[in-house]
Amino acid sequence: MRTIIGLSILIILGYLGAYHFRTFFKKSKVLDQFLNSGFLFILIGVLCGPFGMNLLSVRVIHQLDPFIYLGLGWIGFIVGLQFEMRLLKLVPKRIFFLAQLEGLVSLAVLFGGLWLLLSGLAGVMRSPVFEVWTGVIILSACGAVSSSLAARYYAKTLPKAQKALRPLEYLISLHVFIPVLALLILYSFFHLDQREGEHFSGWVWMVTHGLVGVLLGVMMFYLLKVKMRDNERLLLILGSIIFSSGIAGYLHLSPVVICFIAGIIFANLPGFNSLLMEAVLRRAERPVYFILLILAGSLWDFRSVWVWIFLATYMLIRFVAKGVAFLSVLKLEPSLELKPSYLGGMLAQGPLAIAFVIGYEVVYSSGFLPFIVTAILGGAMLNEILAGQLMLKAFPPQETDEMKRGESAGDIL
Amino acid sequence: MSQIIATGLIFVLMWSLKQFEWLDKLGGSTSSSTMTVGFILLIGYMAGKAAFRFKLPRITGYMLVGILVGPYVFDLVSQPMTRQLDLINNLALSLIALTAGGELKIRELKALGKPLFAITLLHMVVLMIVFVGGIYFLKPWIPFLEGGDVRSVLVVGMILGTIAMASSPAVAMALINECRSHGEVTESVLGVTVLKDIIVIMLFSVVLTLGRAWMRPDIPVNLQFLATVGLEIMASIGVGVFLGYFITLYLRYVNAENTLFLIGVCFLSAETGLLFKLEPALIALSAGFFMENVFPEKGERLVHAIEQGSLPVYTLFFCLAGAVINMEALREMWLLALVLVMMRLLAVFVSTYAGAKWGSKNIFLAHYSWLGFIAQAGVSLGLAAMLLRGFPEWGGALQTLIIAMIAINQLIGPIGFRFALIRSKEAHF
Repeated sequence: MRTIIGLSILIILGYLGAYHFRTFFKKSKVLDQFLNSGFLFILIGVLCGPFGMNLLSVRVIHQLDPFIYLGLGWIGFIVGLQFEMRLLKLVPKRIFFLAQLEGLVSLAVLFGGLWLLLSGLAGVMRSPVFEVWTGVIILSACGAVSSSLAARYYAKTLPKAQKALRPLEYLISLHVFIPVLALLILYSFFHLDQREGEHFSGWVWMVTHGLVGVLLGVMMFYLLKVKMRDNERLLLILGSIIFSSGIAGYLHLSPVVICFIAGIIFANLPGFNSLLMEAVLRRAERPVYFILLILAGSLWDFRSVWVWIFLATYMLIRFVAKGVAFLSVLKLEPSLELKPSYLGGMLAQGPLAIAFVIGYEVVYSSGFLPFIVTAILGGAMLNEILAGQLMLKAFPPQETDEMKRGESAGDIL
Repeated sequence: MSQIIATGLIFVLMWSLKQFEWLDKLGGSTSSSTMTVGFILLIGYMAGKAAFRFKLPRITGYMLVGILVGPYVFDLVSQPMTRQLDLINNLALSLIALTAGGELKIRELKALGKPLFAITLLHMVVLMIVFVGGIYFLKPWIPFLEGGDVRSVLVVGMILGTIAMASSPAVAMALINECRSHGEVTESVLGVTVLKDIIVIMLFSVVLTLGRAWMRPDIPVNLQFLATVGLEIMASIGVGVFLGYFITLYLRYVNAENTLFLIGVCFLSAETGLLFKLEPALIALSAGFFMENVFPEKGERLVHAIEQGSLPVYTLFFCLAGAVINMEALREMWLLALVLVMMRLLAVFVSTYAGAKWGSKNIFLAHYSWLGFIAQAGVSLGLAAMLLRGFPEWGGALQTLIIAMIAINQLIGPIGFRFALIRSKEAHF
């Protein structure tokens, strides 16, 4: 009976959510951008998950593991693909290093603040140190990531912001190395086998990440090298990403990091055709990403009041961290012509942070999980709204500004 | 060449990773199923490509490689792994069934009404007669019928005759898709296959009830079982029609994120089937049929969209179908199974030929369409699984024999149907 009621509610919500809500939300730029980011799918996941109507029960979610791993690997791979040396060479070196600095400063401030927060929480919950370390690293890595989605969206819809936000987009696109490095350290030096009695050292796992990533990148390149139809290419990309993420999961490594490395290798081998790849990736991108969001929502345990208090604290720490990092960049490079009021563009978190936390959730079991997941999923949604508000404040819209919604690969990730 | 090296690398990598099984004990998510899905997609694609080069259907390649990596040969895809992938397998089946339903157009079926009816009817009658008679003569060579009376021969013959009637809509759909075929043979094979699927389920429940009543006269006849099966079929069709209507409403009023929506619908049909003991394939089939025939414009667009992205679905589904082919059963009963398969082939040929001759002037239909009814899978396996509970004395052995028969039919069926589609000039590669 519960299932039938659940199904009926879902059908009605699906209809309203996809049609009438959309029409209604389109009137507001901030809400339209919120929907465009796919966050509604997290809410659908919450509704269908074990803490909602239980349509996606724990058994079902477990059986849908390949979809979760596909989503994680997909995001890592696409982000990696963006680092094509041919294009990177066009970016001034100074901007590249500034982006890394921004990432590093954000990570350091987040790490300090979260260490204090989680240590205090661990005292109350009597959690082991291993969980505190892993929790702090994953939260810091997620927090250090910014999404260029919001900046790109407002640059597209607000003509005034178009030129002004370009340097910001560069910074955001390039700074992912630091958070990915943090993730690599987490999965290598806090590998599950360290908890259970060490088998291999952290360095071995770190090298394994690299080796597997490179190997899979090369393998993909050779598989996709020959002439084939688009649907065959899609199958091989899907298969390679699922296989790579599966290997990562099997070895308790990070699917995002491995596919990120594979993506970089793949993009830089001779004969890589970015246009051809984009056309194929675009076909599957939205479903893959939205399924991940639905499953992320279904795994979200948000029932305790304390997780919401934790979320508010986390958002505050992140705001400070991003603010300090952004101001440091402005101070070091005034020629970028960025203003402190553009900080909003750095606040949006986007898919990579969500992939980080879901990847963590499927590997590590920790008493902090509800706190961590709420901080990232809830934070990603609230930060999207906050980023939008700050952007509108920095670039007040004119009546002639036209709403444009992009649906391409680059627009989502 | 580069692809062959890459495939070899994948194979070696998968084999090497099996040596790290201790990692599974560390907790966290068991992602071996994910690795398996990726492995199957890559290796299956290459096998399909190789099969195509040898002028064999791609799905034969998928199934052969499935057998090779499955639990009975290299064990790279173990039995627990295949069980973990049940839901994904059901999702794939629902997508295939949705397209199969969408391919059945009432106006075309109406035009083929006479041969369709004749072939279906003759399959039922001829297969039943051939198997009851055949089992009677083969009795001395069937170990589990040793010492059995005429009643048990009759029951076993009727069970085998009923299961032999079933063909696989999934295989038919995969071949139609691969060969991009269209025409009388294509439509007839798909139409008869789907129609027989429903009839076989109902007929099997009748045979099971009668068989139990004959074998165990002390136990009262349970007519409730028959009613339940009828109700399940009706409910499956009902849910399917509702889903079909829902899909068209969605396409009309929303028409966004259609791929995601379709995956959701197939998930719902698979899960609803599991929850309420309905037939997920029948639900999806009815949904596709309803959509195509009530709202043809939208239905056609949707079916076409699914077909375009169907390669991963077919690869995964048929590789897994190969991996679960019970080679143990085949090894145990291969000779007897082979004789029964030959009997089935003969019966299918005769009944299809006679039905087609009576109902149609198309000579291709009479000569080649029987080859489309050889492949068997899902429904037959599902029905065979019910035998042990129904007849504890010999149900297990009969089940093994049926599984062995299905394994052979599954391997030769696609080759036959591809040949038929090419010879009847309906394939457009």
